[in-house]
Amino acid sequence: MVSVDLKRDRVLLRWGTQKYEWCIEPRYWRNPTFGVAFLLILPLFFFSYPHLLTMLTTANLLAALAIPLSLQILGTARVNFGPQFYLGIGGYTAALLNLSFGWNPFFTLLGTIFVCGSVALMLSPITWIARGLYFSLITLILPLAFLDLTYQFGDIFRGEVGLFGMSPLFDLGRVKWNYLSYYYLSLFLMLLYLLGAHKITKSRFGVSLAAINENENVARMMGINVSFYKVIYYVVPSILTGIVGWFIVHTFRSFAGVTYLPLEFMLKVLFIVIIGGRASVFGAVPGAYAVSIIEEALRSFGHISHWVFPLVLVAMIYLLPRGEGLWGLYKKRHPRDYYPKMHVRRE
Amino acid sequence: MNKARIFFIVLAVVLGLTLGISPAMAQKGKPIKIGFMGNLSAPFSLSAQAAAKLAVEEMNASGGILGRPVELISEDTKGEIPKGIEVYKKLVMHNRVDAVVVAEKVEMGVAGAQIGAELFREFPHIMFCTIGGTDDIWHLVRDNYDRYKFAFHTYYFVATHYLQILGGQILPDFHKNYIGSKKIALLYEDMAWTQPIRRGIPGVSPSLKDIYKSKGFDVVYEATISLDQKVFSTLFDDITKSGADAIDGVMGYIDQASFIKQWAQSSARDIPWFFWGGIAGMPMAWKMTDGMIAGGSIGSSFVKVPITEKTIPFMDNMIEKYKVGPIFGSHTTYDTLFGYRKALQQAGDTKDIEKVIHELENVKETAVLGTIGWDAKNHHNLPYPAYVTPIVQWQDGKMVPIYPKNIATGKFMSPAKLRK
Repeated sequence: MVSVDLKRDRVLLRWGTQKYEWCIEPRYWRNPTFGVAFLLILPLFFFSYPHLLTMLTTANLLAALAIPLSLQILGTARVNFGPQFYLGIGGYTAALLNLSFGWNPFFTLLGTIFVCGSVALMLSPITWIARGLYFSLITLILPLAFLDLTYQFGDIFRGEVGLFGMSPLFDLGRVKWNYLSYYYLSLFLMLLYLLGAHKITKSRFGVSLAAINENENVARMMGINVSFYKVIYYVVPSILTGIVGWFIVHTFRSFAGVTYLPLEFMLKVLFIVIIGGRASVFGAVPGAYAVSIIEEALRSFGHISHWVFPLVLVAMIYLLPRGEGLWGLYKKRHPRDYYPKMHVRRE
Repeated sequence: MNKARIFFIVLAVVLGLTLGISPAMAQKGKPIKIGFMGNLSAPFSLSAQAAAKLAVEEMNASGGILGRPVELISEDTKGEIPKGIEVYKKLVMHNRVDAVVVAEKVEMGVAGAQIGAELFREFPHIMFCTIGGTDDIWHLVRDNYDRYKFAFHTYYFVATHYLQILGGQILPDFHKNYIGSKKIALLYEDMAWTQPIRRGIPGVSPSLKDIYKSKGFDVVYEATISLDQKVFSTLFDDITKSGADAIDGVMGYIDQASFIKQWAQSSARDIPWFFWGGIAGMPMAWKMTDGMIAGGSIGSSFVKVPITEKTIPFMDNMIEKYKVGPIFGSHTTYDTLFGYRKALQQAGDTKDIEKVIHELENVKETAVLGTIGWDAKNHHNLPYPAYVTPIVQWQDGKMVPIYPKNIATGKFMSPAKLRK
C-alpha cells in the first residue's frame, strides 16, 4: 500500500500509483529556510519603526502581485500590462461588499474570489484571440477603462476619493501589534503564492507551461490543451491579484482606483519582475524589497527623488545580468544549491 | 570587489539612509512638532509646503508657541496612498508630531483620517486636511464625532458651501448684477467633488441647476466633461445654439488651457465664463493661452489684494523666500497653522488633546483670506464671508478683482469689449 524510501537526497513516498517526494539534502532547502527565517525576524528590527514595517508589508504585497504576473506570463506566453485591473476589481468588490452589505472580511474574500474569477473567465478568451503587442495593448487598456468607470459611476466607486472606512482584518488592541500582524499576514500571503508558483513550475503542469511558452503549435501537437491552459493561467493569477486588493482594503481601510489603476503602478510591478529576475518566480521577492527600500531611501532626498528613483531602477536593469536580475546574481554564485529542474526560456 | 559585495554595500548604505533621521534641529526646549505630508512633485503640495515652512519660520521668529520652538517635518507621499499611510504612521508614531497637515488631494486626506482614527487613542494628535473640496472629512466628523474628532478640514469652499454660499448667494448675484446674464450653461468636470453640486445634497441643498432656477435663471445647457477631454469645439457650438449668455464651469482640474483657447476661437467666444478654480486663476494662464483668456472670470486667491493685513506679506514672502507662487492649498495651510497656534495658546498645553480640540472648535484668528476658525460640530473651516476667495477677471494681461465689492479694484467687462 504505502512505501517509504529513504534516498541520499530525498524521501520517496509511494501510495498506490501515486508518488510523492521531498528533498532532504541540506543544500537544497538551506537557503530558502534562511531566506524565510530572515523575513520572519526582520520585523524585530523594525518594531520601533512602524512606517518601515508598513513599507515591508507593501513590499510583500508588491511581491504578491509580481508572482502571479510571472506565472501568468509563463502560462499564457503573453505579457499582461494590466494585472492591476484585477487588483482594482478585487479591492472595489471587497470594499463595496463590506460597506454596502456589512460582510465581514472572510465573506468579502469569498466575494472577491468569485467576482475576480468571473470577470477573468469572461475576459480570458483574449488569450486565444490576441497575442504579442495586441494582447499587451488590450490588457493595458482594461485598468484605464476601469479607472474611467470609477469616475463615471461616482455614486458607487466615489471617483478620485475612493471608498473608505472598511472594517479591519482584526484588532489586537494595540496598533503596533496590528501592524506587526499585517506584516506577517502579507508575508504569509506572499510565501503562499511563491510556494504555489514554485510547485506549479516544477510539476507536470509546469512542463506543459514550458511547452506553451516555447511554441504553442508544438505544444498543441504534443497533445496539450493549449486553450484550456491559457484560460487557467489567465484566471488563477487574476484571482490571486484580486486577493491582494482585498488585503489592501482591509488593512489600509481606504481604496481609491486613482492610486492602483494608473500605468505608474503597473510600471512599478513590472520593474520588480525585471529587477528581481524574470527568469524565476523567486526574483519577485528581492525585486519587491529592493524597489521598496530604494524608494523609501530616496524619499529623504525630497522632490529630486521623483526623477532619481526611476533612473536608479533603469540603471539596475542595465547593470544586473540580463533577464536574471538580483535573483540571477545570487544564483550564479550558488549554482549547486538549486534542485535541478527544467529551464524555461523566456524571450 | 565582486558584484555581490558591491550590491550588499549599496544595500547597507540604502538601509542606513532609510533608517536615517532627518537633520537634527538645533533649537532649545522641547519643540512642538508639526508633520507635513504632500505629493512633492505636485505644484499645489509644493506651494503648501512652502506656506507651512513660512508659517513655522514666522512663528519661531515671534517666540514659537507657548515659548517652545516649532519644528516642521516634511514628508513626500509621492501621491500614492500606501506611501501616504506609511508617512502618516511615521509622523505620528515615530516622529511623535502634535499635528499632521495633509496637503494633498482629498483621497489622501480620507486615507489619513482612517489611519489617524486607528492611531488616535494611543498616539493623540490633530489632523488638518488643507486641500480638497469634497465634504468627506467633515462628514466623518459629523457622523462619528468620537472617532474622527481629531480631523479638521480647511478649504476655500467645500462642496456644501459651494452649493449653499457660492451657488446660493455669490454666483447668482455675480451673474445677475455684474454680467447681466439670465441664461446659464452649466459645465461640470467628472470628479467626485462635483457630484454633490450636480445632484444636490438631500436635506441640505438642491443641485446648482435647481438653485439657479430658484433664483430666476434659465439653465439652458448642462454637460459633464471628462478629465481626459481635449476637444471642446462641439461643446461650444452647442452652448451657442442653446442661447446661453454665461458659462458657469464647476471645474478645477480639466485641461483649462485647451478649453480657453478653443473657447476664444469658437462661436461662443463672446459668452463670458466663470470657473471655480484651476490654472486659469494663476498668473501664467495669460501666457499659456496667448492672451486668449481675456474676459474669463475665475475664483482666484492668487491675486494680490489685501483681504487682511496678512495677505500681501504672505504672497510676497512666498515668492521672495521660497520662489513658489501661493496657489491653492498654500493659503489654507498657512492659515490653518496660525489657527492651530492660537488654539494651542488658548489651551495653554499640547498634552491635553481634548482641550486642544475644544479650542480649535472655538478659535478665530486673522488669516490671509479673512478669518480662520472651524465649525464646532463639523470641523470644516468657517466659510465665506469669514474666508474669502476673490473673483477676478482677466483684463489686459492682469487678473483684476471684481468681486466682492469691498476688495474689488475693477469692474466686469465683456470679452468682446476686452478683445477690442
